[in-house]
Amino acid sequence: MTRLLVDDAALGYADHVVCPNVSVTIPDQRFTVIVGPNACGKSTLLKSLTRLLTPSRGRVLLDGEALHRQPTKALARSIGLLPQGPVAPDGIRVVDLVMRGRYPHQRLFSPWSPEDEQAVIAAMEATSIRHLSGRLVDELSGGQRQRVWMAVALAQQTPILLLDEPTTYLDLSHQIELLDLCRTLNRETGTTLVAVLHDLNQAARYADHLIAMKDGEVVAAGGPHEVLTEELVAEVFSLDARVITDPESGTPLVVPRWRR
Amino acid sequence: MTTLDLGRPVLRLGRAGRPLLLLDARSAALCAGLWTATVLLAGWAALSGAAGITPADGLAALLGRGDEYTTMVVVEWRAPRIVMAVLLGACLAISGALFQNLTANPLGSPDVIGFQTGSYTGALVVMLLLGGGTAAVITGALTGGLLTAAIVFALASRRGAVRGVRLIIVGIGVSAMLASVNVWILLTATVEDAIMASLWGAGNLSGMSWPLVVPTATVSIVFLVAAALLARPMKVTQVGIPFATALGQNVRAVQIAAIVVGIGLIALSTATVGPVSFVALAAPQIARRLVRADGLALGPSAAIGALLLLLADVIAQRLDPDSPLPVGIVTVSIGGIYFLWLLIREGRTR
Amino acid sequence: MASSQLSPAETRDLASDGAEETGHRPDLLRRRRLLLFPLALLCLIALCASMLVGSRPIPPAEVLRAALHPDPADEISQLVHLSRIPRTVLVLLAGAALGVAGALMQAVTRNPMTDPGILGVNSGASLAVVTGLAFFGMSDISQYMWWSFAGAMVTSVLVFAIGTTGPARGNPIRMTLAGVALGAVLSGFSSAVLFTHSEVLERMRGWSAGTTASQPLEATLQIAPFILLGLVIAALSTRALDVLSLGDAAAVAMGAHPQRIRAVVLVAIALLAGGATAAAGPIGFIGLLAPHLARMVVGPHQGWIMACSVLIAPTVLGLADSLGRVLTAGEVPVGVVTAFIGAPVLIGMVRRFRVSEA
Repeated sequence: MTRLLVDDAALGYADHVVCPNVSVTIPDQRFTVIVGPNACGKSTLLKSLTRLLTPSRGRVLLDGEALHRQPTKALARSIGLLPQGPVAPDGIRVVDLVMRGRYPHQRLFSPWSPEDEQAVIAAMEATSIRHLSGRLVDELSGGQRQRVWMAVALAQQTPILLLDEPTTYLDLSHQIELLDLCRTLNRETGTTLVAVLHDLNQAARYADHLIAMKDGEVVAAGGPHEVLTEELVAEVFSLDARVITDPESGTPLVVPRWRR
Repeated sequence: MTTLDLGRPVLRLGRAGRPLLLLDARSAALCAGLWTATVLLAGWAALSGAAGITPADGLAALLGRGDEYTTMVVVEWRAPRIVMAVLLGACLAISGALFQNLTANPLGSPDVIGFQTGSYTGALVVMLLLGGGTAAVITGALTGGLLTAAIVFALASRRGAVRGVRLIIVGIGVSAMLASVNVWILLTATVEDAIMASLWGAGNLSGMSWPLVVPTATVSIVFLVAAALLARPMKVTQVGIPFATALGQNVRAVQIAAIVVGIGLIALSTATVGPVSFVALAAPQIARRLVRADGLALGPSAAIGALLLLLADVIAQRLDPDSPLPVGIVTVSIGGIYFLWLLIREGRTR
Repeated sequence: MASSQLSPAETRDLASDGAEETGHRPDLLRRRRLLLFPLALLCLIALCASMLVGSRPIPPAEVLRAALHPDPADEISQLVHLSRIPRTVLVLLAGAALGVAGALMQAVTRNPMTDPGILGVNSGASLAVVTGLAFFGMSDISQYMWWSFAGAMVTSVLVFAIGTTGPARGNPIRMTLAGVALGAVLSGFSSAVLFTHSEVLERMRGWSAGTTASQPLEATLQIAPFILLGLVIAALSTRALDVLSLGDAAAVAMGAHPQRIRAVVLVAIALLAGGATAAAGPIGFIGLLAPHLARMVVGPHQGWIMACSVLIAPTVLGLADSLGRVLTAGEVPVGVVTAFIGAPVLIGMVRRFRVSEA
């Protein structure tokens, strides 16, 4: 079952087209990961699933209706996005930042409700930052800060959540921590997750559905076992590798061949 | 039901169980203190001075029961000047706060970027080249200011988006051109005319009267209310344009609204009393330092701006009673010193 | 809100201004050397224009004759010697000084959008001059030259401190802005002083937008040694600045001392900007334009940039000055003309520079 899909769309920016023709369906309540080499259009595809990017041709549909035809705030209550490199204003506290995430639910003359408060608390507990709530964001470590941004996105309480390279710049332990959090979120609340990840093996471990892209086109889409074959890895990533089974998780593990 | 730890004391207004208003306690206390100080200073400025009027007489005049002379001095001369100082101080401060937030840069203040220079050009053209009166000068200044702003924005936008960086540099360039034009116009005038024009160009609250204060107040209140409504959307924009858009905000609309309100406030202020610099730069920064709140501290900024400008005007008048200074000279001097201290302090702490 | 931060790639883009990597491309090396001749020629033409253009049209032959045979009784000869020649010498000296000062500033701050005017160094020098005139009764250029130099030095140090420490570190935009704000502060102080000392206001009226007409030749020649010293220091620093442009860490790895280099360069900037401002008043944008143009033709090599700036800056200044004299009946101060030429270039630079989306 899918709520969110891209139908025959051309995606790009004002000066150049990144994806001339792409169609994907995002399986509901599953963890989808988009992978591909640099500049393949992963982020572009992800952004097209929000109102940040409108296709120049074709449509992106949510529940059968084109995205750009839906009012922004209503859409923000359905689809949440954690973009790359978000900016925290100087001197802001963790709790104030997470509170910004409630914006789609707030109306002009009712600035703060008990539901908002509970949502913020729940988001901070899910990301284990509740004890940091009064601290300044500037003072936190990279891993803690990324968890704060995750909390902001979670505070939105959207059924669909998009994450643009959430693990880049994090230590490995924090990367795993974040991905485990995503998986728990998906399993426990049924949130549909779509993430762009760089690390193929992490993608293989956590994804229910994998989309591999190259040069603006979707090369393969399906479960990790279907998509991550030696031929695909060679084709998409120009990498000569073996694909074995991960001894921990049973998912495909890409091992680049060793040149002696 | 558990409650949120906001890391600082917060007042909750409204019944529990229904939507609340969260007010930073520190900010509220600060505003209360500042406005009290402002009212006290205003009272002192109105009731004391060199005109030989006792406080009791002055008070009577304010209540409508004074003699003709006292009423004229206190009600017709002093009171409008004081009200204007408080009002425009708040307007300048809020304009500064909006722009500093828009450009994400504490120095991205309209007086640094140079939006006031265009107003000066307009005023000079009217004063020295066309020979107009007060109303004409105000119109000229307003036109000059708004035109400058329009040009700067046209040059700073690319594909419909305005970025803080570009806005600042384009503003600097445009105002450098206009500043040199101003110097040139002043050069072509006689020395007396040049001095009179410079008096306006330094920012001057003298000659205030109710017929000027009332319409200014009306228009500025509209802008101030708009600014208050913009506070929350602008806080959201602070997380970056992509995130804010994803959170459902129409970032472009908020930016444009903020620009319009910010320009409106500073153009209004410059048109009526000339370019008063550093209130727009300093007041929001002082406010943020005192309140240590996130993002926009509009209430405290306005309170500080009002107090600052009133204080500057009182000093300008009373420092040397025989030759009163234009208020702009005082704000530049104090503001300048504050700015240098700020730079040195920032340089040392990091 | 989009932050004012620049990514390292953007900073590099900005600094290189689209100039190609010169490396060892032989055609470019040859081009550089050959370029000096046409540039020198252009400079000469601009200086001649400066001699020939004025409120009173004098045929070139007459000008030449009067220049070579000074005759106190002849009106034309007087005009040439008391007005045209001093102006031209001033254009040459002040132009070269401002151009090289700008090149030095851009090199030491790694920010192409700076010049002594934008970063407030000229305002600092002016403030010092005005203070000297108002409070200490200075009247001779030889006296207030020292004030100008001191003002330029203090301001340069302040701007430099802003640019390399604190929140502005490594961010050219923040530094430019801090310099502009500082300049505004110092101009404000100048206004305050001028306001309370109207006799100084009268005297400095013509000076405050930059003018080439205010100094007799002897006065101009008095500042020449300062400017020449500054130029010599600049010439000796070019290789060190090339190394510095790779970043402090890389420079130290190559055995250079970044802070020492900067200190020396600051003295040069103060001498040059202070000297130019003392003689001709604060003139902005020459220091921005000349190195910018130089970089476009010879690439990011400090030595060549400075050599070209020495020729390009007086050319631009001379043309601006001549333009100011012919445009209207009265004289448009040269600072106004340079602002009208330079500000659009600055705006063009920042518009061309793409700020990438997150």
